[in-house]
Amino acid sequence: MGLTAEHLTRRFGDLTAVDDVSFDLPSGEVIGLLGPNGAGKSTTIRMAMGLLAPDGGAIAWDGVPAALVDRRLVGYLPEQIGVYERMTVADHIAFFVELHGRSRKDALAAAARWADKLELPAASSVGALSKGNQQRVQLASSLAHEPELVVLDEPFSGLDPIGQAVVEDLMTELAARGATLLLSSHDLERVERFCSYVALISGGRLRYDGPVGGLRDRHPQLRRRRLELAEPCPGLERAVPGLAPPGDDPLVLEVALDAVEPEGLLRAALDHHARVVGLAVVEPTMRELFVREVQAA
Amino acid sequence: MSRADANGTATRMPLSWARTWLIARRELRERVAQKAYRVVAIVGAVLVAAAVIVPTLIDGGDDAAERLVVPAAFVDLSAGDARTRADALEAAARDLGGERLEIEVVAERTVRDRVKAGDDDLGLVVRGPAERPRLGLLQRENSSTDVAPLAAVLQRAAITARLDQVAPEDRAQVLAPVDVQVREVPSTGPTPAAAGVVFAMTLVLYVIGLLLITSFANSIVSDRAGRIVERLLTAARPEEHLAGKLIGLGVAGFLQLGVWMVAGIAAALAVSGDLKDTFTGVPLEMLVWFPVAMVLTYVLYAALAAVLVIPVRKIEDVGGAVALGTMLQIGGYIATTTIVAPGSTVSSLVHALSFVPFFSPLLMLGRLAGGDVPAWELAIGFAGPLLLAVILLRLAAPAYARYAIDAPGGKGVGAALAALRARG
Repeated sequence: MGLTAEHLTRRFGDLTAVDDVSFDLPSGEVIGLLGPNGAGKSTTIRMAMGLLAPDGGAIAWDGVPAALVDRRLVGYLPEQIGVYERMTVADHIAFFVELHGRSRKDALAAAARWADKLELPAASSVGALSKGNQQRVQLASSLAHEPELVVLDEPFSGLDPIGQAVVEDLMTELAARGATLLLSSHDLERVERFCSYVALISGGRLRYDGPVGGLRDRHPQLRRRRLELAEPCPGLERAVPGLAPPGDDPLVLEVALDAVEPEGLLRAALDHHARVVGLAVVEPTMRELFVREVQAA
Repeated sequence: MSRADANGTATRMPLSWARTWLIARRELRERVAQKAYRVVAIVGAVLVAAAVIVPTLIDGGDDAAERLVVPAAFVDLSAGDARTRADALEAAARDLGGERLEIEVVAERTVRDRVKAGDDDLGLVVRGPAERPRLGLLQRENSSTDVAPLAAVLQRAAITARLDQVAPEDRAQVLAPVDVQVREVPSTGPTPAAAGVVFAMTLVLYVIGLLLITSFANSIVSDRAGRIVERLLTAARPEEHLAGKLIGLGVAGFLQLGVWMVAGIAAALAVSGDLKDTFTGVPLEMLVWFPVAMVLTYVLYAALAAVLVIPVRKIEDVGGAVALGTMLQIGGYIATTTIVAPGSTVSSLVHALSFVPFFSPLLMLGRLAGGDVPAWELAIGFAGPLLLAVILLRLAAPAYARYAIDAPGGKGVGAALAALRARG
């Protein structure tokens, strides 16, 4: 279930929400779709789900145009909560499972299983639940038919830490059974943790698609050398240009990787009688990479 | 992932009745489970039953039912003025007991016109002098009224009145039988019985049009506003969603209507013992067409509403958006009322309009009340709305999916057409 876009374009009036985007994302992977607000992520997802037709180009799953993909094999969690508030939790989940082509019996069994898994009161009406639990109902309704392709648009929004942990577990489970998972999220730490591939969109244009490591390779200047000290040493910071604490902790200092060799850094530390407890190379975080890509755009 | 045809070409997920029915069932269950739905069903049933029973209770002490008003013309008044002769007939009838006869003296032509138009069941034309009257009792064609008792009363009353005019020694001569002839007058338009029933049916169709279709339109916009439609359309085709919603809400509405009708029939049975009087003279075709017309009205106008609400974002804009549908219904209702009155005729305009799908269900019902409608015309009246409904739903479906997330806003025919023209 690889997702391929070729010169994908979508306009809304004068606004070009997605502009000539092309990517090729592999099947059986967890793929992160990144971008700032208004970047065109949701529009891309809706075209990938066949909800919107492109104005130009094409988007396909394993070569099958998105609009023609068999929806029974697709699980989609929209960004915003949309539930039937008057239904019970079990009926709600079962309805969507049945809608995806399962028998009534299977649907009821799946509903009971997923309500239990997500710790939801099966007999309660959905409208009586908190927003977080409604989000869980929506999640269960999207996944209980065991789709091969899962698209999650901001799955962590509105969830408390426990709910977020539940979603993380589900994502791990989905990845383990080989489902293709397209995840759109602003939570870059989670994207980094779960995604092997990312597609980064900004201003409607694709900035990067490929393995997460490849994104790091595009920004070697963001790699840092980190020095950890046992006690503060202000003189050392003055002696090595660019060496500074990245945060509030004065015992942790960082400098651009290519600014100084490790031997030179250690020599400077010895010269200033600094007590070094650690020296390491720090890879840029997804947040740093994201900001850099967006700024470059 | 996708279905493929014999050539291995990917094809769109085929329409599924199972999914459509699943969506319909959900809509039906949700609607029926609502307290407001059950309350309206029960209150409506009580009101309908009351509407049937209360007038009977109010009229119960009145002798109106026993009074018979007959328009009468007296031709050849050589034996006195018309009112005097009418009074004599009334008095004689009173002396004979039975129905209280009241004679309204009018011109001969008026008698005929009023019976023809269905304003009166019977009319009387008395010819000749008082001592040798000839009574013509005019009855509407196919009328169910049994004229024999009245004819007998009139005959005896006439004889009594005649006796008053002659000397006792001449009475044997005038006791010769009086000829009372009963003639049928050709009718136009519905019988009074059919007119009453078809008027009630027309009203029901009109109310269905207004209530169920607004409810359907609200439901579409509500699904969009509640964001659920985005999720639905990744599992089902928009045609399935629209059709399922249409069926589910329709069945729920007709169930409610069925409860009201059962209550009305039960009340009528409780009051009069049977419904024979109510439906005597009502064409069977009309009774068969009525449920067909109900379904056609709902399906067609709901399909139209599906198109009209495509650009609508907010529930409060639904009423304005479906105004065209409301106006068409009012037009159909007004056109129908012109042909359901007893004695009315079907103008060529109304006849032509009865083939226009938006008016067919109502106008065909009205035409059936007034007389035979050729089968091929009924077939057009049936197929037209159904075909148009399917076309409208197929037109609405892609736009419905296109605006599943963000409708462009606006209301009215122009906004709907613009939304239809926009590409997905």
